[in-house]
Amino acid sequence: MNTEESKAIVLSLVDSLRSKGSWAGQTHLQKTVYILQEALEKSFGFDFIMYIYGPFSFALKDTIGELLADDLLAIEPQPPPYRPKLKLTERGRAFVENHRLTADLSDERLEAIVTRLANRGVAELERLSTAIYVLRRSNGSGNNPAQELMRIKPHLDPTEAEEALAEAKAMLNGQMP
Amino acid sequence: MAGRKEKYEHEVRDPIHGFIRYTGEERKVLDSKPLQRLRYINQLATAYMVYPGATHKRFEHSLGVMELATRVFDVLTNSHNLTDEIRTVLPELDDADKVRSWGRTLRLAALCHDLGHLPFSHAAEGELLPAGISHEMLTGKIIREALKAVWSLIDPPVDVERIVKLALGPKENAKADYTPWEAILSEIIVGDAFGVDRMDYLLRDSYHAGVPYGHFDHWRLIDNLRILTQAPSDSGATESAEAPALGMEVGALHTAEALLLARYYMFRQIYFHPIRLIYDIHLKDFLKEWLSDGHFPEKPEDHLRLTDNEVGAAIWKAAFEKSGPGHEHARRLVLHDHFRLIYSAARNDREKRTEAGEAVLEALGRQFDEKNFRRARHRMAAGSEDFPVLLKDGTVSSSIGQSDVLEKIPPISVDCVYADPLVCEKANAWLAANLDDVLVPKKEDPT
Repeated sequence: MNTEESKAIVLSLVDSLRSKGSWAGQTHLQKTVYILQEALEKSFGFDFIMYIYGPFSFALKDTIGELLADDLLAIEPQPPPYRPKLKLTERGRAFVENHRLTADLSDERLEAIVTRLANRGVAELERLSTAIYVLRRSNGSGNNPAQELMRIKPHLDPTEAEEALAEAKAMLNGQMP
Repeated sequence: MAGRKEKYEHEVRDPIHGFIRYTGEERKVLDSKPLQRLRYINQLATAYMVYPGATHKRFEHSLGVMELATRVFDVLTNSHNLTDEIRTVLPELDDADKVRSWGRTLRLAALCHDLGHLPFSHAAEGELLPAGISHEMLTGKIIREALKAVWSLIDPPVDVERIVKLALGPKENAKADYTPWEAILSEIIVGDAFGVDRMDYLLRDSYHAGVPYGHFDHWRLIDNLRILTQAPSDSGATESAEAPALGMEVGALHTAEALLLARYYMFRQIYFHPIRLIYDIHLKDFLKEWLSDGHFPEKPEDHLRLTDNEVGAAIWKAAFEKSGPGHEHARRLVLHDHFRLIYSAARNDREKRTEAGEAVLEALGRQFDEKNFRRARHRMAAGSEDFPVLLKDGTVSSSIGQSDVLEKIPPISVDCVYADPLVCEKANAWLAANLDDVLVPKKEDPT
């Protein structure tokens, strides 16, 4: 996937998240892109690291910055105390439309996962994406995923950790969008 | 520094921060070859060709970053500035000895954060390092390898990996795991909103270039910085899911606005100045021909042998030796015979084609031979900094929602095309007659 296609994917996701009712802030977008890359086993061009409480991509952060600088994406301030949402500009919408010809932006499973994630808040998205990260990293290592998840996210109790891991497993196995 | 027992035995006078003091142990690092090399690396690459005063070096910037990092650390770790919530998230703050130790580590990391810079700083980066290597990676290597003997002399001993972590930050050190506390400390140095690297270079570059736009009230800003939990990301965010981050008290929000405006103007006036950018391109062209295999070395010992002095002497020599490598590019640098700005994408042009300069470059290349043209493309999303703000009632809110200014700072998008003076007139005339056709959108462009 080239840089332009990666940008088109990001713009398309912001639009899709907004249309499905997501707050669509930068953190929502970070976690959604990570979950999609892992669940679909498909790279949109963004490497993620475990950063404090969840997977995070500095490359995605830079891409968002470029999209803002090129007036394809805009910041939408929210009433205090909330952090801003992202929204497509008219140019951003045209950019997506033009890249629909070359990029596969209408994958059915991708849309189904976005629909599932769109009504989740940041706390839930962080929990799910971190659970996926833990499962990917602990695969075959013998570590206890629930304990590892609670180490990274100390707010979680054992039941919440197990629930997040169960959903993460199902998602990675393609059993649910 | 909180609970500080360090004795600052040495001092130097700095034009930006007054006296900068340091310990005998820090002096061992300061007197090492990697640090002393920074006396011969220009902070602003070829910007002195446009702003003659901008000849300051990475050495004094590194001292400035150490000084500001210390001031920020002292404010952030002052017990009066910490909330119970932050103490819970960052238990390190309750152990005075550990805080003191981290303070020492932070100062050394700040001092060392630029060790991997190539000759002429950023100008010569990019394609001049072997694939997959960045100057930040070189910084890590130098701290670990070239300074190894120096670290063994430091008492009390230091944790070298911690110094690397704080100096690089998680973006440039992706293989390392950062605790929330380590992330905060690295943010003090390299953070997007309030990193002291940025604060120092704005103040220092502004001073030396003679361009006043880089000034802001850094005293008040630093005094009002706080470690805060992030503002809620959505209306359902009831738990403290967000990482702690650097934020500030609402009363000083205008100083953050001033910092980000200063950054905007400095990028417009200096860092993205079109003539400075073409000199950087000529320098890069020279280095590609002058360096063996067209790349800078990546071994620390080889890297440390090269400074602006060696490269500058080679440019001077090559400028007057027609058969020498890089002669043509060196001549342009020395004799001020740079390619001329022939096109700068206006907003209207960018609305037709996002990469308008690329279209112009390709069209001119087809018409007049591509070797006669160069392009500089840079961008910066200026107004998107979102950081937590502590309100008077003790709650935390997003800076974007609190400030009428931040969101309105426009992005910067620079897209310039330059022509060899020999074809400039013809190319200008051709472009004036054909620009509309050149900018007709391709199907993959937005409009």
